[in-house]
Amino acid sequence: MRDLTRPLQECLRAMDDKHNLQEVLRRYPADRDELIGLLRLSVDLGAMEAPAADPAFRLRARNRMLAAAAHRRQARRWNPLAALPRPVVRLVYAGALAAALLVGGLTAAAASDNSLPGDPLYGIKLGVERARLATTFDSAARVRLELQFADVRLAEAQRLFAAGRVNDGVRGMAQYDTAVTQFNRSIAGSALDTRAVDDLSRALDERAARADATLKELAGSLAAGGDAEAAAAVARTQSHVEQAWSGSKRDLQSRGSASQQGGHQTKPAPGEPQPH
Amino acid sequence: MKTSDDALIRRAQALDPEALAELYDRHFDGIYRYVYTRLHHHADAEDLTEQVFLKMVDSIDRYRPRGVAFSSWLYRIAHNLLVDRYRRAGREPMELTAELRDARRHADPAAVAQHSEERRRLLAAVQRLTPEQQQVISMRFIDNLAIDEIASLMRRRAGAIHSMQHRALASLYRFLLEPEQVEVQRA
Repeated sequence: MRDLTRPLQECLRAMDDKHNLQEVLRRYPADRDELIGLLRLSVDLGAMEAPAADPAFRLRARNRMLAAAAHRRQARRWNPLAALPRPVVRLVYAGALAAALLVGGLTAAAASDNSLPGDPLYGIKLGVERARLATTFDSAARVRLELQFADVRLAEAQRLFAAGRVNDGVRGMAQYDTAVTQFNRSIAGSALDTRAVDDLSRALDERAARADATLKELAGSLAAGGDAEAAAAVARTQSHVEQAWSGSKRDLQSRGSASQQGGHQTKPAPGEPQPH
Repeated sequence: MKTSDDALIRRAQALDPEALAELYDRHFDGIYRYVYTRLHHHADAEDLTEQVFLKMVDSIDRYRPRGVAFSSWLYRIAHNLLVDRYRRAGREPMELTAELRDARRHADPAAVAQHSEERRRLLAAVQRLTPEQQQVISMRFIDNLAIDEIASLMRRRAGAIHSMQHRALASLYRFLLEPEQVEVQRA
């Protein structure tokens, strides 16, 4: 069987559009007879039709459809969202879900503020801290935040010891140590102006003194309670933290004296390019 | 699609009764005949046609004019309902019925008799086609659907429908040249 798909398509289109069929057939002289046979068939098939529907049914079905539409319209009045196109409804639902997640997230973040290591919400608390650091683009503000978070780690360790969770308290001490070391590194790696250097120096002096007193008291109390191992761990942290505070103080002092010599301007961190 | 059609459909999507009635009047005959040709039963065809238009009201807000023609969308609803019904009844889909009549009017009784015989032979030949070929032939020539609409309903490319249409007509042509064989098949 030869493939007459294309000539047949052209002939049928000519018939549909009431164009000159003979012109199309002239282009295919070899297939003319077969094409005419196929076209006759298409006409015979097109002449067949199913009986028409009962006019009473036609009217009945029309009225039922309109009644269903009226019922649906009524339902839309009670539910305004149903009147909106579905993509808009989806957006509304997505917005509501996002708002719920946001509110839920903020609630959880607020509730996590007092959590301690090992609590279910503690991960959220650390996540919030990381998010705050990631969204703080000012170097001085970021260093101040790190100092604040170091305070939080110390307070957590104190509460853990007070709650009798000695092992968790010792781990908390290690976390505090890490936080102070991180603060020390940040001081060294940040460009700070004179005012930030002065502010941080004051905060550092105050925190170092307070932390020293807290750690001494904690170690004494643990030793008095017979927990020599934990007391020793606290003492080690105190010693290590003292060294870190001293390093930070020296760093800030050197920047302070450099700024007094060079005027009131931003001091680059070691390794940063010097301003011209 | 014409702008007036777009506007009509937008009004129908807002469930405007006049717009819905207009769409119903435009498409009722085509849908009813499409369904009847495949169910061979008036009451069943009425039931299913009514379901098509109730479903249209129910889901018209999901119809997007930029996707497919409205008629294709409506025939797709009818097609899906038919397929469901065939499945439930365990029947082979899309067989053409011998109850199809010749729409041409003949004054001469001899011509009426001759056309009646030709129609009977043609339907017998159509029933020898594959179900898919019968589907294309009936949608194209009896339901008068465009190739694109058939392609959309059968989820095939327009080129494949053109080709199927040619093969179906060529097979019919061949069958009609062998009248005895058709008679044997019928027997």
